[in-house]
Amino acid sequence: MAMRELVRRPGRALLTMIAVALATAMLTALVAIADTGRTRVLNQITHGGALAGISVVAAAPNPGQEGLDNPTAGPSRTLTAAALRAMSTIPDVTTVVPILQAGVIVIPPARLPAGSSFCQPARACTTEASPTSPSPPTYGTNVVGVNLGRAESLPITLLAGKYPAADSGTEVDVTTDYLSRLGLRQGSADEVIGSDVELGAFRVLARNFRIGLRWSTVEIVGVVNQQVGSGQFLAYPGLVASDSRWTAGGRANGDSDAPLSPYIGALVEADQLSHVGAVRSRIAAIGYSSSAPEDLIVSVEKYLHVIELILTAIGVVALAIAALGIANALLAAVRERRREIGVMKAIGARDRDVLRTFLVEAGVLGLVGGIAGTVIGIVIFIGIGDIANTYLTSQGLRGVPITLTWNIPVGAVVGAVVVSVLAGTVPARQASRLSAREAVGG
Amino acid sequence: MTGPAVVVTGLSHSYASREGVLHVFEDVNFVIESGSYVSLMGRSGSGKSTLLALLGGLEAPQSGRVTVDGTDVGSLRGNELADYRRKSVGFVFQHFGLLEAFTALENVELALTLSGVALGIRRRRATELLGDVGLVGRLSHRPYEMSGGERQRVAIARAIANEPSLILADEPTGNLDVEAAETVADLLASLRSERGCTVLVVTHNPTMAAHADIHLALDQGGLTEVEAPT
Amino acid sequence: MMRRVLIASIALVALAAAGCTSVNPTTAASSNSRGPSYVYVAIGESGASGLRGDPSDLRAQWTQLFYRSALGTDDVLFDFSSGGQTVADVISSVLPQALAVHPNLATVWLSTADIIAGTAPAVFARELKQLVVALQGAGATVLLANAAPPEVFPALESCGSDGPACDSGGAPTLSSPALASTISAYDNVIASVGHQTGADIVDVHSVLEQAVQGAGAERVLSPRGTALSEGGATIVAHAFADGLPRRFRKQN
Repeated sequence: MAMRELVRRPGRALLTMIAVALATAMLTALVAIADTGRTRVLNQITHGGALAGISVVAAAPNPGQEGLDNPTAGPSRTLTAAALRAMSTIPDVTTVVPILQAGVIVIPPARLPAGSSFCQPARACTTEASPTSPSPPTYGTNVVGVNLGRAESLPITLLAGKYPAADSGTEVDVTTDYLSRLGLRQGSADEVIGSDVELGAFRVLARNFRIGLRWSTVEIVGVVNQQVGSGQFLAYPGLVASDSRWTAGGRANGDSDAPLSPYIGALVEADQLSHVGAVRSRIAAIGYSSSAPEDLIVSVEKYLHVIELILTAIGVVALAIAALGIANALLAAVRERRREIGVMKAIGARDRDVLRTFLVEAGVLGLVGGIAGTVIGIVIFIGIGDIANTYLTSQGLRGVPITLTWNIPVGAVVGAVVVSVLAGTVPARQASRLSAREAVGG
Repeated sequence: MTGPAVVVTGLSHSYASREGVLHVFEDVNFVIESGSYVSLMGRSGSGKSTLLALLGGLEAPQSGRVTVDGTDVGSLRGNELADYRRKSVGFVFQHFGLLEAFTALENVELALTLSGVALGIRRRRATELLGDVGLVGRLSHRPYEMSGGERQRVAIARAIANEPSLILADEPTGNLDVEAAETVADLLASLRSERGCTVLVVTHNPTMAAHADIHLALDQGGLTEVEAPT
Repeated sequence: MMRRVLIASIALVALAAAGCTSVNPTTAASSNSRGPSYVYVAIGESGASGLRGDPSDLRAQWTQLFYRSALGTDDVLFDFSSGGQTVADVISSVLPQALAVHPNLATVWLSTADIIAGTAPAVFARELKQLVVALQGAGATVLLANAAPPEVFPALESCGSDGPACDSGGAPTLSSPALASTISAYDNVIASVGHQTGADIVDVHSVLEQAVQGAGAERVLSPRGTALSEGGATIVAHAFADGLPRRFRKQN
C-alpha cells in the first residue's frame, strides 16, 4: 500500500527522494573525502611509509633522546646483516626493509637528450655527432638499494615509467636530480626512460692507490622521487650489493674509507602504532638510533578525527534537512488522506497497520533516495579524486589511492533509511491516532 | 442467527459547538432483530450518521449501551474495537470510501488482508465477491475508471468480505443516479435475503426504503418507528 | 515498477562499489633478460689513471669504448688498467683480485712500463706467460695485445706516467733505434707467449702505426703525448673488437 501511495503522487515522492539523494550524496562524498584526506595527510607525515614505520640509521642511539620522534643520532655505527636479523626477531615487528647504498661513478649517454636545456640553440643534440654539443660529464653519486616490491609502504613516488623488475641487476630508476644533470625538466622524464647508463664502483687495488673499476650497464626504466637514501639511482638491493662488495674489497688494500657494510639504514614496521615505542627501545638495545613520527601521528590523527566528525556532521545536517522534507511530505499526506485513513479503520485496520503503512512509505523514500545519493556521492568522490591526483602527480607528489571502503556506501544508505523512518514517525503516529469517525461524514 | 442483532438502551450523545453543547439524541432505545432490514431517516443534522458510527464502533457512546450480537460495543478498546469493525460490521459509505491507489480487486482484498487471509485465498475470494456484485470485468480498474454505481458495488463487496452479521450503510445511493441507485438498493436487499445479514440503511431514497421491514426516524433527539415512506 | 527501480539501484551501487578499486600509479615491472652475461677483465696501461682527480676522461678510454661498442649491456667490466704498470706489478697486486671475479674474457696490454723500466725480454716473457696462463686457468679467453709503435713513445720516454704532473722521476731515456729494437723484441716475445698459450694476439702495433703514418701522432695521442687520445683509443678498441670471439659480441 505504501508503494501505491508513493506512485499515486509521483511528483511529491520524486522531489522528496531527490532531497534525500542530494543529502546522501553530500554525506557519502564528504565522508569518503575525509577518509582519503586522512590517509593522505598521515602518508605525508610518514613520507609515504607505513604509519607504524620506524627509520633505523647506521648510528648509535643518543642517550637522553630516547622516545623523541626525531632524535639526534649518536656516533656512526656499522649496520650489519646480523643486526638487521636481530631486529626482525623483535616482538611486534612485521617487516624489516634494509636500505643499501653504494658510491658510483656515472657515465651518462654521450649525447644529451633532445629536450635538454644544455643543447646548443638550434642544434638537435641527438642527431649526428656535433662537436659543439657538450657531452654530459661523468660524475659521482650514490645508488640506493631497497626492496622495491614494497614501494607502496616506502617514501618513494613513481613519477614516470615503472619500477625495476623484481631483483633486477640491470634496471634502475633515477631521481629528478639526474634529469637536472641532463638539463631536463620533470615533464621530460620520458627522454631518459629506456636509455643506458654506465655505473662504476671503484676499489683501491694496492697501497699505492691504484684503482680498479667495476663497470656495469643499467637501463633507466623510471623516474622517482625518493627519500630512502641519498643518491640519484634507485635499484633492488642485489645491484647495489655487488657494487658495495667491490668497493669494500679495497679495505684490505689500505682503503680505510671503504665501507664495512652496504647497509645505511632500514625501515622497520611495527604491527601497530601503539607498539612503535617498545620496538624502538629494542632497536636501541641492539645498538642503533631510530626515528618515527609516532607522537606527531597520534596528535594529527586526533585533529583529523575532529575534521572527519565535522564533515560527517555537515552531511548529517544535510540528511536531517532532507528528513524534514520527508516529514513535511508525509504530514501533508496524512491531512489529505484523513477520510481514507478513517475508512481503513472503519473496515478493521488497527492503529499499528496505519502506522506501518506510513513508516514504510518513509523508509522507501529513504532507501531509493539513499541508494541514488550514494551512487552520486561515489561518482563525485572519484571525480574529485582524479582531479586531485592529476594535480599532485604534476607537482611531483605521490597520488592518493582512490579507494572506498564498503562501510561508507552501506552506512550512507542505512543512515538515509533510518533517518527517513525516524522522520516519518511523527506523521505515522498522527495518522494512526486518527479516529475512524473520519470515515463518516456529518 | 436468532435473537436480536442490535440492542440499544438509553443511548445519548451530544457535541460541543460554538453555540454550546448540542444534544444529538437522548435516551434512545431500540432493538433490531437479526436478519432485519431497517431504514433510518431524519433531517440533516438529526444524528443519523452519528447513530451509525456508534453502532459500528467508530465512536464510543457517551452514555447508554450498544450491544451488537451480544457484544457491548462501548466497552471495546484498541485492537478489540478494530477486530469488531473487521469481523462484525460491514460499512458502506455515501462517498464509497475506496482507496484510489488500489484496483477494485485490491480494495476488496484489503479487508481480507487486514484479517490475515493468505494471498491466494483472498485473491480468489475477492474475485468471487466482485463477481457476485456483477463486476467481474472490472477487477483491475481503479475507482476513477468506474462509475458511481460500480464504485458503490465494490464498496459493498468489500463490506461483506469478512462475512459480517451487520451491514451499516450511510446514504449509499446519495451520489448515484436513479438506475445505479436501484441496482445498489437491490444489492443491499439481497444481502439480507441471501446472506442473512442484518442491514441498517440511512437513506432519503424511497426505493431504498421500500426494501426495509422497519422504518425508523430520528427527530429532535428521539427515535421513533414510522410508516414506510411513499 | 518501483520494485524494478529498487533492484536496479541496488545493482548500480554494487557495481560502483566493486568498481571503486584503487587507482594507483603503475608499479608493475617486467623482467628484462638480454642473453648471457660475461665478466670482462681489462689488464694493462693507459686505463683509469687520474681517477682520484678528474674522472672526466673516463668515457674516452679504450676499455670503455671496447666495452660499450663490442660487448653486451648485461656484461660487467672490471677495469684493472693503470698507467705505468709492469707485468710484475700486475702479478703481485692485481692478478689475485682479477682472478677472484671469475673472468670469462680478459684483455692484456702490458709492455710500455716494462720497456721503460728496462725489463729484459726473457723476464717479461716469463712473467707475461705466467699472467696469461693464470687468467686462462680461471676460465678466461685472453686477448693479448703487442707493444705500441715507437711513434707513440716519445713523451713516454721522458714521462713515467700520464698523470697531469709529468715528471720523469728518473726514468731512463731511450734512444730511437734502441727503442725500436726493444719494441720489436717485445713483440716477438708477446707473439711467442700467444703461440704457447693459445691466446689471441691483437696487433695494436700495426693499427697504431698505420694511424700515425696516415694522420699523424697527434691524432693518436693526447696533447701531452702521454696517453691515447679518443681517436687513438677508438683505434685500439676496434682492434680488440676485431679479435673478439663471436660468442662475446653484442647481440643486436
